Order: sequence, then structure tokens, then C-alpha cells
Amino acid sequence: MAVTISMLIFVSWLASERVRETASRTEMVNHTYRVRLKNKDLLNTIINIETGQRGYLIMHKEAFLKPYADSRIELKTVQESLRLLSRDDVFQNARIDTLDVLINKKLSVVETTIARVKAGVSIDTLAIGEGHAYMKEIRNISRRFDNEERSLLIQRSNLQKMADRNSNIYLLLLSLTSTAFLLLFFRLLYIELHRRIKYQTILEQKLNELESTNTELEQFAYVASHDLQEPLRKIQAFGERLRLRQAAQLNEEGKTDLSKISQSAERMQQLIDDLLVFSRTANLRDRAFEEIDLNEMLAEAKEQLSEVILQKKAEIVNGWLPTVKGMQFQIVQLFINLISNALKYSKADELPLIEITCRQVKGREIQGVGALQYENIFHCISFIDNGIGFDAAYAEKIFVIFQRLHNRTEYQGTGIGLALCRRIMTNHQGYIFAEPRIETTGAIFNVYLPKQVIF
Amino acid sequence: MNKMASILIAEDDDDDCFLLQSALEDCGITNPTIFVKDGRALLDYLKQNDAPGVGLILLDLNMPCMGGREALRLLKSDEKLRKIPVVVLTTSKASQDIEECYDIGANCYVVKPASYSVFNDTIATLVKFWIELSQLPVVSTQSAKTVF
Repeated sequence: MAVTISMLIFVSWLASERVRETASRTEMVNHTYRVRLKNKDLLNTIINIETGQRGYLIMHKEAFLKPYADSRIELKTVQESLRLLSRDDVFQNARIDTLDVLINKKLSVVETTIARVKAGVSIDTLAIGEGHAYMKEIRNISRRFDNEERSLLIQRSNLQKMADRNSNIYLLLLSLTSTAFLLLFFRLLYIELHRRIKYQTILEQKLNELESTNTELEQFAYVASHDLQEPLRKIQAFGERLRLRQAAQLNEEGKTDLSKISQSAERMQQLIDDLLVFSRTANLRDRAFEEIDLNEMLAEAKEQLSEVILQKKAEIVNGWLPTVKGMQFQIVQLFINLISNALKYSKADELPLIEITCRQVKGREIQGVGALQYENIFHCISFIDNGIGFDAAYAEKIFVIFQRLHNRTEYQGTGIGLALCRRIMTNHQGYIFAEPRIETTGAIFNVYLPKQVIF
Repeated sequence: MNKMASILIAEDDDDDCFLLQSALEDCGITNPTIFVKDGRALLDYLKQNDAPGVGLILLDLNMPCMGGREALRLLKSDEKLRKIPVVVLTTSKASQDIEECYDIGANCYVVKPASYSVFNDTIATLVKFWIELSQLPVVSTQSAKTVF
């Protein structure tokens, strides 16, 4: 690109130089014409002087002296002009000098003759002869002067023609280079545009596929759960019926077996319910982003968990949270999940303390973020607890649906909470990551919400 | 009067029929109970002129051939039959189902609980309300206008 531009500038410069040269050569040709013209003027002036003299000589009338008088006044001016025009040429200057001498001599003869006629004295034929000879010499020199200029004119004309042809060539070259440059530029632009359109088309296609897959998934989940819940209900119903009505006939082992059946059925019910919730959250069909105040969302979450918070005697400390664009219901769910996790995995011998802080970060600080997001600003809301924490190696595993780090007897739950959180963050063009605390036990969950969302 | 009215139950699943029957027996009611398997059978039964007056209909929604919603619609648009109170008894707790049924004209919508004991309690409460507390209409099917 830089090369092409500098080449273009260079060719422009060359072309302009050639054009200037043509102009100066033309000027020189014109100059030569002017010199020749002035030379002719000079000759004319002398001729007029002679004509005046001749007329007067013949007619002896003052009127015939007019050309002589006028020309005499003009002569000096013309001589000076000619000298000025030819000042650069040494040889022509020499000729002008010679002419000056001859002209002066001629003039004195004419003056004398005229004076004699005025006085009524007879003319001096010798003087006339001299005058005639001077005239002849003046014509001679003038002609030689003109010849010199003419050959100069031919030379300069040729140079001018050459310069003109050159500048035409360079101007053509310039326009060709410009056209080539323009063509190249537009071609590159076209290729880039084409590439962009292709990527956009692919993106749109993928988006459509994704939306239809998500819809299918939700429908599938709904239908499957409905059909799965049918036999499940029967298992629970008949299991309980058996326990109640045949209690007398069952021994301890029978009762235990039955209760295991019931518990499994309950668990399955729970898993199906969670799966349904998850698939519904994933579907963006009902996306309606609105301005939500996160402080209000947090208050709502604390309200819904008020019983557990009271029971565990937990303390929740939070700073000021910003207002963002999002889906109210999902954000509240996110907060509920994170706080209830912190409460669930609290240490038995310590009162749970959850700190919620907020700061702004740049995209590049978030792990795994694409380069396009580096300069975007995110609100980083951190949920810091003093619970049992986790091994840093499992920092990503905990976000996988149904993945747990403890079995059911230690801590209840299906393992959907954090998977749901991540899904919610994806819906909001944000991120969520977890890390264990360093100086003490506990976990930190960092929720990244973009300051500005793109629709 | 109520003690004479028969309860017409539309339910396609045999196990659910069994549980329902068991629960009704536990309530100690003496009303005759009739079980049909789908909407078509329900309406056909009501067509019979010699059927004892049906005072209450328990209707499941998911049945083969003619489902609960369609049967409900036909019941509630018939001049004679729309008097009979219909209790929709189903597993679906979807709000759109609830809205739709009331929209068509159901008198009540009850979600079948999964737990056996809770189910029994629910049926007992239902029976207590409709059979013992409220007054059921007297419906003669003899001059019933058959629109189906």
C-alpha cells in the first residue's frame, strides 16, 4: 500500500516536471518570436524615417515629415526594447551594437539632408549615397539578426515539441498508474467485503441452527420429562401404597428396600425438574432485556433465601452494585444459586460470611476471552465466602451440569445450580469463573457482566 | 339426592383407575362409579337414556382418540350436559392447561399428586366437597340434545 502511494507521488512529480518543461520551452519559443518582431519593428522605424525624408525631399512639404518625426521619437524605445529582449545573447548584442552605430550615422545624414532642404540649399548627393549605403548595411545586419533568431526558433520549436510529447507520455503514465492503483484498491475492498459477507452469512446460518436446536431441545426436554414422569409417579405412588397398606407384612429388610426405591424415584423427579428448568433457561426465545438494578435483584434473592440465612445465622455484606441490562428473573436466579451454594457449603464450626463486591475490569483480564472483547468494560461482581472451598483443579468441572464434588449424603443437590449460572451468564453475554481463596478457606465466584450489551 | 348421583370418571390409564378406585373406596362413598377410557366413551355413556343421573364428572386430559379438552368443550356446549360439574383431574401443572380448561368451562382443576398418601387425601377432600358439601344438579339424559 505504502509502495503504491509513493510510486503514485513519484510519477505525479515526474509528470508535473515535464509539464513545466513544456511551458518553459513554449515561453522560449514565444520569446524568439518577440525578438524577431521587435527587430522588424526597428527596421520599420528606420524605413519610416527614410520615407519621411524622401517624401520631404520630393514635396518640400512639412506634412511629409510626420513619419520621420514620429519614428524618431519611437526609435530609442524600440532600440532599448530590442536590447532588453536580446540581453542574454552575446552575438545578437554585438549585432545590436553595430546597428546602433549604423543607425546613428544614418540619422545624422538624414538630419543634415532635411536641414539643407529646409534651408533651401541643394542636397548633397554624396550624403544621399552614404545614407543609402548605411541603409543597405542596416538591412543586412537586421536580416542576419533575424536569421540567427530563426535558427534559434527552429531549435526551440523542436525542443518544445519534444517536451510536449514527453509531458503527454508522462501524463498518460500518471493516469495509468492512478487507474491501476484505483483498480487495485477497489479489488482489495471487494475481496474484503466478500469475505465479510461470507462470514456474516455463516454466522447467521449458525445462529439460526442454534436457535432451532435450542427450541428442539426445550420441546424434547418438556415431552421427555412428561413421559418420564408418568412411570415415576406410579413408582412413587405404588411404593408408598405398599409401605402403608402392607406395613404389617413387611420386615425391616423389605421396608428398607422399599424406602430405597422411593428415594430413587424422588431423586429422579428432582433431576427431571432441574433438567426442565435448565432447558427453559437456555432458550432465548423469551429474551427481553431491560434495565435492572442489581441491588434490587440482590435484595430479592436475600428475601427468597431469608429462612436459610436466618437458620444458618449467615451474614451477607455487599457494596453498591451497578445497573445493567438483562433478564430480571434469570439474574435473581443467579444470585439465589450463588448465595445458597455459599450457605450450603459453609463450614460447620463457623458462621457463614458472604461478601459481595463490585469493580470494573477490562475484557483482557478475563480468562479465555476472545481478542475482540479485550477493550470492552465488564462489571466484576465477586461472591466471596468462608466455606469449605474447593480444589483449584475442579474450577471448571463444577460448572458442568450434574457434576458434583461431593456425594448426595454429604450435601444435597443435583449439581445443576452452577451449570444454570453459567447458562444465565452466557445469555447475558457475560462470564462466570470460580477460584478457591488463597489465605483462608472458602471460594470466590466472579461474575462478569458487560457494561454494554450487543443485540 | 347427592347419594344417588353417579360419578362418571374418564381415565385411560389402568393403574390410575385402580388408584382412584382404591381412594374412592377408602372415602366410604356409596355412589355408583363408572369408568370410561376416553372422551368418545364418556359422551356415548351420557347418550344412554337409561343411565342413572350423572352428578359429577372426573376428567383426565391426556386420553387417546378424543382427549379431555375436546370432550370438555362438547360437554359445556351441550344444553343439557353443561350443568354437570366437571373436575379436571390431571398430572399437568402447566399454567396454559389450567387457563385453557377454565376457559372452556371446567368447574375445577386438580393436579394429581405423585405421593400416594397425598393423592388419597386429595380425593377425600374432593369427594367431601362435591358429594357431601355442595349440591349436585339433577340431570335427565332422556331428552338430551345430541350434538355429538
